[in-house]
Amino acid sequence: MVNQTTEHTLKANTVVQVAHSVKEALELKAQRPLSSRLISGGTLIQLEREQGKVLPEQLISLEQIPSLRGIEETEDFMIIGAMTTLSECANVECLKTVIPTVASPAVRNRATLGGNLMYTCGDTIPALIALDAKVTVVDGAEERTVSVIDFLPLRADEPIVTHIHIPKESVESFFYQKVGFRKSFSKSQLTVSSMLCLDNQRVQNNVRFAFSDGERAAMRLTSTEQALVGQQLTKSIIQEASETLRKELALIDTATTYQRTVAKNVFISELINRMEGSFE
Amino acid sequence: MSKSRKRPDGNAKVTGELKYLTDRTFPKMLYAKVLRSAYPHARIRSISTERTKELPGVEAIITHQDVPGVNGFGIITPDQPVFCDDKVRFIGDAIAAVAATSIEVAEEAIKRIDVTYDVLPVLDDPEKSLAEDAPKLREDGNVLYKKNFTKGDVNEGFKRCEAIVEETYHVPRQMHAYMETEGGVVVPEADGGITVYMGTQHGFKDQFQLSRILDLPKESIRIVSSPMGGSFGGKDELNVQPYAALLALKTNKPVKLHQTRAESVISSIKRHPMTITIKTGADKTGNVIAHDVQIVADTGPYATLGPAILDFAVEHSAGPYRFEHVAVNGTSVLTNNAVSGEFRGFGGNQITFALENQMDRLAEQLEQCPTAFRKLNLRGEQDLGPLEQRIVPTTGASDVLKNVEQLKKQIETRKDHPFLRTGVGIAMAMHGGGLGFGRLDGAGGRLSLSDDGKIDVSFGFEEVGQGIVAVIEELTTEALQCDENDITITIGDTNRVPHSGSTTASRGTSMVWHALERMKQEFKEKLCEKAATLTGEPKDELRLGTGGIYKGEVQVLTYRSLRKQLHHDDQVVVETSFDFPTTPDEVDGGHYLYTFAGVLAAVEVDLLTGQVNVTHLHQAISAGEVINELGYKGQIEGGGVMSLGYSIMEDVVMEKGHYTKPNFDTYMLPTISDVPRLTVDAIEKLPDGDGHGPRGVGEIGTVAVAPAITKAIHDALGIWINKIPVDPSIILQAVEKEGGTWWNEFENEQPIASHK
Repeated sequence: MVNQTTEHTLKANTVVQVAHSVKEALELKAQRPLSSRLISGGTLIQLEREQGKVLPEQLISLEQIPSLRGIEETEDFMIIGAMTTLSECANVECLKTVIPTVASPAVRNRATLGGNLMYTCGDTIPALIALDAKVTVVDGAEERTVSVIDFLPLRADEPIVTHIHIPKESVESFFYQKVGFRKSFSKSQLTVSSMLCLDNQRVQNNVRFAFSDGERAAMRLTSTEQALVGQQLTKSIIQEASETLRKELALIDTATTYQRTVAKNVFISELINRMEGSFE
Repeated sequence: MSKSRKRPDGNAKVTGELKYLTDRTFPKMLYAKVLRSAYPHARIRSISTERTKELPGVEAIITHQDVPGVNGFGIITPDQPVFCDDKVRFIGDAIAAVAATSIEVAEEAIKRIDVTYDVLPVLDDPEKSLAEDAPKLREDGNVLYKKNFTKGDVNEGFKRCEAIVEETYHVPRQMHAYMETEGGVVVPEADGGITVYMGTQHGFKDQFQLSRILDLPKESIRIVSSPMGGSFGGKDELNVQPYAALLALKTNKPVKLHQTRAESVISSIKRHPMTITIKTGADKTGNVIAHDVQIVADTGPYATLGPAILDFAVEHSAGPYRFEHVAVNGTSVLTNNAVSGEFRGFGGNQITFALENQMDRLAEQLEQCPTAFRKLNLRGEQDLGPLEQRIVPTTGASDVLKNVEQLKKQIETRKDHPFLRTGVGIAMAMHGGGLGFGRLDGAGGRLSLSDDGKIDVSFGFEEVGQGIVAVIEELTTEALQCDENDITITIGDTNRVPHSGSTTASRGTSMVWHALERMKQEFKEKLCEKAATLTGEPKDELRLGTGGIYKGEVQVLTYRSLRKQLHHDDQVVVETSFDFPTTPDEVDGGHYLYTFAGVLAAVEVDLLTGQVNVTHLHQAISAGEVINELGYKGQIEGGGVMSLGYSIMEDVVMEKGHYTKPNFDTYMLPTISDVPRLTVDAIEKLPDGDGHGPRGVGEIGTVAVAPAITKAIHDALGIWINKIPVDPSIILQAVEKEGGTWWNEFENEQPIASHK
């Protein structure tokens, strides 16, 4: 016999607190660490609410913190405020192929780059890994700037992301592809991204390959990177890289055969595309 | 196509100005929620509402004990409980409902209803239901309905076959996904009756069903049912009307019940998943000699129109072709999955996918061109219908095939891209309109001169988004030679409209045309007679025109002044009622009027991901005259996109009786990005002396899309697809099996031309 009895009180009235500075947001968070949550664009929290997840008692909105908004260009970096919407980010050269694959136009008008980084499997994460972006986070009194890979585990403590720094490397060498369930406004089945700079067909040191299975955080494919670095991009090197990649993807036991095969195919096709004279 | 009138309801819809019935509110209105089952199959031990009663704001809680009449609904058989008493048979079964002062209180209240269950084994697959030791979902077993059709002797036929193809096909459970979920408001009236403001496809049927449940006379129940934000067959059956009605009567207050998307997914009917096994054989010249079809439909736990849908699938098993020997065995099986029921295409889409695949496979085996092979087996103008019944003569089959054949010749597929393959496929379908022989299929309409001097045209049809209002406007202004400012259109209110039958089965356009044909002369004569009396002009020289009555080119009276000058009791009304035309032969369910579709699909298959990109979808439709060009294109293009979803992405997956994709974040429908180039050719010609007018096109645009897409994939890669939606991993597996065609080319140093 089973009882369909659930203990519930009337829905908690969630209070939205609007912070006007990072400091204020941190203070508010510290006051109720367990019953509050930071909210930026709110598109994920909205989805979770639809899925039946109970909202916390307090939401701390970061929307009214001016220092977290906007895009600044320096000689070496594009510095993007975490509260900058994805729609605004679409104008950043290196994100032009990335942003349109995330959710829908209406969601991108609300959702922020910082929010996407805080989302377990945000579509921009593999791209930012491949772009070697750095993330500035404030946690307690401490501010630090770390790589995306190093940032990912910090998310558990719900820090405030303040800025994302994207090095101005060669945009032509950047590659990104999301495989969804339909052409737009879809969850990712898998997302791959790479940075592959060539000098006279030789793979430069800054090679980066990133993969996400659409459920868990993205990861770097370091063995494949090692197999390529310093090599002349030839057919035999691509064949070797393909084998290394196959083995490396096989180690990801949460990934399905389909995800592994597609990831390999897409990366290798990109290498073939980049190899001089291929398919010409 | 020449008539490109904008639909009268268009502006208000696209600007958001239009108020749907679910947008309505009333003073003192309460909000209702329905408690659905926690298990797909269980015995109910107890239901306790004690803890709910303490909750402030709760005004009524009802269960099976509160149903005064029949505790069941169903268009043909009322076998679906309004509220379950002893057993639940699917996860959408209702157990109780609550009316409260806010949605939040109502939500909380249903959580506080304590139900204890004894969980029973879940029959989540027809095969399990048909096993000998399976628990019985109904006293007489788990077969809801069987339908067979036999012509000749297939076993004898197969002996003469040179080529035989035998395959099993699987088609998914599809969601209607109307934009407006089920709901509205029920208002108690001073006379003890109710007004139901809820979308439906057949107001009078809802009135009948509610009367049975509420034990109220039909006259005490007024159904206001248009406009609504989509239906596609999904709101033909009753859904949440009984709950709001019972609660409104109990509380004597208006009650609003509007399902959330998640609630809609759980409770709504879906398209029947079917497993279809077919053996088809042809002689060496390509004449199909024998066609043996087994259909197993997963109909869920309750009937709704499951039997009629199986009838339809069986009838269309040989589609537009004439085969010598045919045997069809259809079985509709009860399960603990979602209730399957009415859905645009009505069983035709499932069988057509299987049939057209068979035709292509046979053509390949015989090394014949698929088009030529179809032509060889195609029905002629005077041939009998698929159930060997007499039908209205038609050249539709060959007309649509010719159209797509010509287009196919013009389409070049590119084979030069290293990671993409392109292909083109064609398919066709024949689709019966109306409910068929032996089914109550009455229709009717009314023309009147209303007190404000407008010509009021009235039908019991509903505007579900399909464009019936535009059709009524177009046909009425043409029939009466007036313009749109002279008329008002009344639909969707049982107090104000005549019986027209259900807004279903592609019958609306046809019935409006027939009704006007029957009424127009009498109505014109009545108006001219009155005008003659008032003006002294000879009646025979008067005619109707824009704004009023004319003699020659001179207006002698406006409609308004005509009305004003008549005595109040002197009403000008013409009504008609008649039946949808059916075959004169006594063939149960047999249709008489058929429409045809020829579909061409072009696809690009990505060899890296296995994903299919439909790049062009062309449909040639033979359905007689086009009444409203935009409406016609809208139906065919919209139907095409709906079936593109059916072909490559949509499937309401259920595991052990539970939905695995409970909302639109995981149930994938096509978005505008997935919409390919769409083209529509309307073939308007009908044989001389046809006399049956325009046919409805509500369904035909959905029927033959899936097999055209899978044939295009075959053209691109040489892979046959037996199951939709097409699974990219299956395509990828096939590509990988050959070592990845692109990878082989790369390794073997046979690079093909640049794709850059």
